[in-house]
Amino acid sequence: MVRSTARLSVLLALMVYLPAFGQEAGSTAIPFPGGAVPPITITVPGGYLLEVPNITAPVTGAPLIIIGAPPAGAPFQHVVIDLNGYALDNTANPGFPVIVYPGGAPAEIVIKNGTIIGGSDGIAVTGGARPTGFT
Amino acid sequence: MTSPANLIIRHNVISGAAGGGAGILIDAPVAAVARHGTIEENLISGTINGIVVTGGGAVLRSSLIIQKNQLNQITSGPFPAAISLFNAEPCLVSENTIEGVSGAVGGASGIFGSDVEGCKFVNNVMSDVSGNGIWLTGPAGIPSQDNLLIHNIVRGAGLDGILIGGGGGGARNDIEGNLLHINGVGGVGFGLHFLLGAVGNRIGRNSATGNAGGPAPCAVAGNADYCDENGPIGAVTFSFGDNMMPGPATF
Repeated sequence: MVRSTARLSVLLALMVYLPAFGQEAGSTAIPFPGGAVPPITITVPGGYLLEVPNITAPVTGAPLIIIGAPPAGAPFQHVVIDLNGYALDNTANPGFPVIVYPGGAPAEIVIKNGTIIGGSDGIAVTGGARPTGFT
Repeated sequence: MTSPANLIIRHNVISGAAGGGAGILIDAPVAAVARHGTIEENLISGTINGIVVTGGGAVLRSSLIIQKNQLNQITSGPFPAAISLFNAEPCLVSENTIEGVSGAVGGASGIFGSDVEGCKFVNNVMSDVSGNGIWLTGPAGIPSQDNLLIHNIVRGAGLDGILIGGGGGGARNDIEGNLLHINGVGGVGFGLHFLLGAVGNRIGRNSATGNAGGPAPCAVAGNADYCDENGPIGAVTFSFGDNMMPGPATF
């Protein structure tokens, strides 16, 4: 009986801590404390982990996640977004990307492990003119 | 020297981007800023354009790895292909699977490169693209050059299996060991096609059969699988042999 209780305790402990195994050290949860109302704007460099199963944007006329310019004084923008296997849906805003980094260099951007639906682009790293003509 | 923007986009499923952009769009400022990145193991389905890497200035160069992505049911426009690259140097485009690219005739290729230099296109497989399988070209006077196209499979393209040239042409590309079968399903299309102005390219060990051919001014009359508008093999295009394409033994 004692052994069974101990096993149960270990199992419960694993269930509590296992979700953290997939999270990068120091990651900030998305949505941010206080809830997520798209667009979600990230300006602070660091790691971000989507912790709710799926975010569907209402009609906002905006991207769902914007990776903005770093705070004043930060040397460059460094953002890792782990979508944790969940989905971002910006179908309601077909004129805007789902995730966008409109800024310039220097920057290091990582986006991984998600399902990205709708929008003008799934993932857009923009900021400049496109060449025209390709004959 | 301007610092680059470095990107990694991996393990995403992207669908339904229908606003005229792309599943993944890497755009670059007009200023001389390079985009360096790895785009790998994404599944992109049902989008307008698939992966687009573009730049705004001739001084810009983007070094890229685009590998093991799966793209299907892509509608091209305004960019011309499932994977569209502009001003890329160097790049590795490998092991991508492309199926079902539609759009205006001539504008819906599997892989399109404009002014790409020093890139490897290797082990990509594609079928049922309504344009060309792989098309390398460039703006006037700026060819796609010094690229290696090796071990790609293009089957059932609406136009050519591999098309080199147009605009700035294509120069010194090595095209080896590709399988280019049953292309030109739109009625006109060769397995391997060099447009006028494509010079100094080399071919070898390619297999091209069952392609539609067409009325282009080719040096090898009656060959539906190979067309060089610049003259016979050895004039400006060179073969190191073992091509399995109906035509002269010198192939």
